[in-house]
Amino acid sequence: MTRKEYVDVIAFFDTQGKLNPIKIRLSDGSSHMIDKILEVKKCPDLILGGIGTRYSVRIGSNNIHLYLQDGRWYIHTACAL
Amino acid sequence: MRYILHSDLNNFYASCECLYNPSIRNKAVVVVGDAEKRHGIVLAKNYIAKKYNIKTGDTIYEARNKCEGELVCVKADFEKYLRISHMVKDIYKEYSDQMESFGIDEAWIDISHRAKNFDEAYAIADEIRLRVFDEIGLTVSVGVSFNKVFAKLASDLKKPNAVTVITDKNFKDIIWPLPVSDLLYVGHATAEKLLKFNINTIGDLAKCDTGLLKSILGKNGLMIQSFARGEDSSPVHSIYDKEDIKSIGNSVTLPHDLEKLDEILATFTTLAHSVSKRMSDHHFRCKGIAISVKDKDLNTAEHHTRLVRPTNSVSELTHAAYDLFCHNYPSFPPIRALGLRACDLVPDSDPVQYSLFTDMDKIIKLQKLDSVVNSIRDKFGPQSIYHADTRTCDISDATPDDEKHSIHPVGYRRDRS
Repeated sequence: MTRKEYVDVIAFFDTQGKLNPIKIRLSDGSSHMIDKILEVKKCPDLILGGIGTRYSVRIGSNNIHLYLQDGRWYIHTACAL
Repeated sequence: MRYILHSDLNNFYASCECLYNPSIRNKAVVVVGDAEKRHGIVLAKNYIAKKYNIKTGDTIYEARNKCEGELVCVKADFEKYLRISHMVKDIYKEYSDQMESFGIDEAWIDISHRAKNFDEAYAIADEIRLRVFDEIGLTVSVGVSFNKVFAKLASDLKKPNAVTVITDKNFKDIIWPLPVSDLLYVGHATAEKLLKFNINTIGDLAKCDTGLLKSILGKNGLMIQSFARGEDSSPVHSIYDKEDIKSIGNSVTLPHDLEKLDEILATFTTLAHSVSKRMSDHHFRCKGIAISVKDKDLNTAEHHTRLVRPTNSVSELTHAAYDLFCHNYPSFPPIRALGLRACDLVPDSDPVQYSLFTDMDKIIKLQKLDSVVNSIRDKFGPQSIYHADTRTCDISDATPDDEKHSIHPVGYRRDRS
């Protein structure tokens, strides 16, 4: 079972007007630097619903998807039923 | 040769709901109006619901009876649909400035400047189809042809998620065998009239004697014959074109049937506010009004009147509508729905001739009042200020929706400037 975990994000607009997330803070309070943005794609979230922008990012050795939908950022988190 | 695409989002409302709630994606889904406001009918359904023969316009009760399994009923969220529709149309606009919306889920796109032949037009149509699926998550049927009417017909031929091409070479083979009722502008009544003269297919219509057609359907007969022959030359309007507005109207289905005159007056006041605001926004006054009345047995009638002088004042519109109603209904059955339409529009910059005995101070006061109410509504929303009358009769829910959330019907033959 997966759910949306809304996260705090520090991001900056570059000179081209593109939004780049640089750090996320999870609901448990831990913060993680984004090492690299691998891909930015407008797309629907086919698993949890909605339309927005998907940032594929590398944090440490993990590649994760960070979604921006209706002005809010979230990641997919596994949760118990 | 023109290359025109018509794209049609498949099961648009139901698809949007499935997109936002993937857990219902594999169930029969219908999008319904608000039952409490007596709009409780099926507005859209997905393909699984279609298998149960659920039709648009069925009541929620009928739909549940038809569906043996679990039927998911979702209340319509027009704000969401408009937002998604804009996202899709933003993709279309990347391909051409000549992009003309036809309702919330359909649009024509003229790509003549990008495509040199039908193969290239097909490739562009397929790219648009894939992008809409990839970026928005919706499926779209695209028709490619050399005029708007055939492009629209083509988009209906293969659903969902497909591209269909009708060229100047093959249209007689593909389109002419289709039933005449498939053609734009051939509704139920027109199809029945044509049937009496043994005009069953679009091909029959194209080959029919022009004089006979004119005698059956008048000018419209010639128009639909030119459609059938592929001679439609109407342009795809640019996104920068302004629509030439002929009339402005609003109607509401009331939460309960109206039986008292003060409720009728209050409803007309609510409608007049909305119509007046839209007229002011477009800088119009109207020289005539029409009211539409639907009683509890769904009998509908429309009545027209001319006004003494052009106006866009809420008070004058309300009283004109109310007087027209009282004149036509000395006694009346319970009323289910009321509508008010301003017609015969003139620019509000045109001079108005008042009579010698007009109380000009009062008119200026009312104009100032309307403009203040409009500016408050612009800033704080349509529910922020209202006529006290409208709150005494329990018709508060009858307020027409905020303009930006309203979906107004559109006609095909629109003039633009």
